[in-house]
Amino acid sequence: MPPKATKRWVPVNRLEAASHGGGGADPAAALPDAPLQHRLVQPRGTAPPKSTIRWVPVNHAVGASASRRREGGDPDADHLSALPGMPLHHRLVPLKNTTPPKDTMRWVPVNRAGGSSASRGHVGGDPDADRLSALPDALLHHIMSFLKAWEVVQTCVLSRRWRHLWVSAPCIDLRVCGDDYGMTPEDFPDFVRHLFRRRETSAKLDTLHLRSSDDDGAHDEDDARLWIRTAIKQGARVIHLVGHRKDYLLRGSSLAVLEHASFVSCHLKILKLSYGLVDDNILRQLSSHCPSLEELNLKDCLITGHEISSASLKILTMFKCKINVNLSIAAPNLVLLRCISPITQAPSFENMGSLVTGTIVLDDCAFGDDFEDFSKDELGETTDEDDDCQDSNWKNKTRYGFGAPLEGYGLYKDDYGYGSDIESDDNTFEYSEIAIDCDEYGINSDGRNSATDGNHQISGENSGRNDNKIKGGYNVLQSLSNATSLELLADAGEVILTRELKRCPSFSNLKILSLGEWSMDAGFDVVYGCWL
Amino acid sequence: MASAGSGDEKAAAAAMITLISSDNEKFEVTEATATLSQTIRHMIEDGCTDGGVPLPNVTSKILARVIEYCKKHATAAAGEEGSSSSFSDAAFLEVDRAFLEELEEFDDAFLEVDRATLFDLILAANYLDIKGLLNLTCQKVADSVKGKTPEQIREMYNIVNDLTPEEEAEIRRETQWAFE
Repeated sequence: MPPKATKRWVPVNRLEAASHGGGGADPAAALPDAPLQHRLVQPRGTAPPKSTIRWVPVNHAVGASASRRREGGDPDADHLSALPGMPLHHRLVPLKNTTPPKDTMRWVPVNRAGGSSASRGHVGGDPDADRLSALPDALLHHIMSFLKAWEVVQTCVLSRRWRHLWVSAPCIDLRVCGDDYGMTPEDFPDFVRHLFRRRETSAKLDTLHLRSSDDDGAHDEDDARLWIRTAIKQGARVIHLVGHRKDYLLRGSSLAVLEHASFVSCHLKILKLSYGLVDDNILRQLSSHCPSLEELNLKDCLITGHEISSASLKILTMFKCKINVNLSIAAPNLVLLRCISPITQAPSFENMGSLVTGTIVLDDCAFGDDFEDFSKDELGETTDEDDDCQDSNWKNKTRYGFGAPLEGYGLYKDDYGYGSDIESDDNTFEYSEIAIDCDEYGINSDGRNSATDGNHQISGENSGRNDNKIKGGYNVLQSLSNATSLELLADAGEVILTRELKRCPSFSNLKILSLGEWSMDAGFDVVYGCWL
Repeated sequence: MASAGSGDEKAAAAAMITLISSDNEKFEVTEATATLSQTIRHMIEDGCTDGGVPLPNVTSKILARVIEYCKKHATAAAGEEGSSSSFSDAAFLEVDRAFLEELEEFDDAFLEVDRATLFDLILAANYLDIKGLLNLTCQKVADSVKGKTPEQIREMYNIVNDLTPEEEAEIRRETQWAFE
C-alpha cells in the first residue's frame, strides 16, 4: 500500500524497508532477531543516528492505516521498536530526547541485518503471536529467575530462540522442595556440575539460591560448599543459603554447618542465610574478606561468632536468631537495621552513625538459657519464609519493611535483583508475620482490652525473672540515635529497652517513631523527655 | 481525556504529573503514584516533567492499568507511613494485616488479564521500571510454565518449534543431564 502521507521518510539504502513496500510496512517486522539483545546495550534516547545505526522515522498514522493494524497504538510494533531498547532497570535517559518530533511520527531503528522477527511468529496484533519468545533476553532471564535451575535448562528445546538462552541466565535456583521431587534431575550434583560448566564464562552469575543439603540425600554439604565456591568464582553478587529444618527432629541437627564454607569474595554483595550456624570463622570472613558485602540477612540462624564488623555493610537483618555469645555489631555505614526477636541474648551495638531506619523487636521471654523457642520454631511451618516451596508459590506479594519503606531511602538499587524473593521476600517482613510472632510471644495482643491483660501477664512473668539474666542489647538505643525512623516493639517492662532508655539517648533526626507497650510501662514522661 | 488521577484523595495537596500515552491520551496522577516508576522518578528528579511525560511505548489501555496498579500500591506505602506514627501499634498491625491481604487480592485480580495484556504489562513495567509490577507479571508467566513439558509450553505460548528434528535430538543429547 502506498503511503498516504508525504511525511514518511524514505529509508536510505535499505533493502528490507523497500521490500516492505513503504507505508504499510510493519516496523516490527523490519526488526531482525539480533537487535533484541543488541539493543540492550544501546542506550535509549540517542535519537540522532549513530554511525552503525540509522534511524528512520516511521509515520505512525500511515503505519496504523495498514489493514491489520489494531486501534490504540501498535502494541507490538511499539514494544519491539522501543521497549527492549532499555536494559532491565536501566536508568532512562530523559524521555524528552526520545520523543518523536511530531505526534504521528516515531523513530525506529530499522537497518539491522538479519532475519525478520516474523520468523518468531511475531506478527503485529496477531493473537497467535509468540509474545513470550519476542521478549528481550533480559526479560526472559528475569522470568527464568522465578524458575528452578532444571526448569530453566529444559527451556533449551523450545525453539532456536531458546536454545542458548539459559546459558546466560544470571540466577540459579538449586533449591529443591517437596513439589519438585520427581521433576529434578536424578543425579543432582552431576546436573549442577554440568550446569556450571556449560554456563558461558562470559555471562556473569548474579544470584545463587541453594540448600545446604537435600532431605533425601541427593546432595550434601560438601556439594553445597563446592557450588558456593563455584558461584563466587563466577562473580556471584547474591548468595542465599538455606539450611534445613524439616529433618531437625530426625537427625537432631538441621543447621547448615558452614565451618568450611568460604564466602571470601570481592563481588559478594548480599548474603542471606537461613537455618545456618554462624560461627566466628564465617563472621570473620564476612567482616574482613567481603569488601562489597552490603546486605547480610540472617534468619533463624544460630550465631556463635562474637563480632560483626563491616565497613561496607548497609543492611543488616537478624530475624529470630539464637545468639549464644556476646555478639557485638559494629557497622559504621549501616543504614538499615532490623533485629527481630533475638533469642537467648540480644546483640550489642556500637558505631552505627549512618543508621536511618531501625527496627528492634525484643522479648524478655526469649532471653535466658532456658528458652527453647529455637527448636519450637522448627515445627512452626506457617511463617517460615525460606521454605522454598512457599517461595515458589510466592505470588510476589508486596511486603513492607517493618519501618519506613526502603525504597523511600533509595537503598534498593535496581540492579539488586533477579528473583523477587531476593529482595522483597525475606529482606522484609510482613507486618502480619511480625504480628503473629508478637502474638506468640505475647508482645502484642489483638485488642485494647486484651492488650491490657497482656500487660499484666507479662509484667507478672517479668517480675518472676531475674533481670540480671537478661544479657546483651547494650547501646541498642544509643546506636540508633541518628535514625530518622524507628520502630521499637517489646512487651511492657522489657528489661533491655528500659535499661537503655535510662541512658537518655537523644534522637535529633527522628521523624517516624513507633513504640510498643514497653514505652507505656517506661512512662510517657521518660519517653518524651528523652526523645523529643 | 482519561482522568485517572481524579479519584485520588490527596490530589489537591500533592503535586500532579501528567503522563501521555503513545496514543496521546493524558493521565493525571499524583507524584506518589508516578514515582513508583523509577523511570518517572528520575525524570522528576531531573526536572523533566513540565508539560507532561510522554510515554511513547505505552498505549492508553496499558497505561491505565499500570496507573491502577501504581495508585493502589502507592496508597499502600502512604497508608503505612501515616499509620506508623500511631502509638496503638496492635491496632495498626491489624489494619496493616487487612490491608496487605487486600493488596494481595488486588494483585491477584490485577493479573486476571489475557496473555497479550500480560505481555504488554511486562514491557510497560520494564520500560517504566516498576519493580513490583515487573516481578508480579514475570512471576505469573513463570508460574504458568512450571511443571509443563516443552510441548505444553510451546502450545501455551504459540512458540513455533523451528528446530529440525536433528537439531532437537542434538540439543537433547547435549543437555541430557538436565532431563533425566
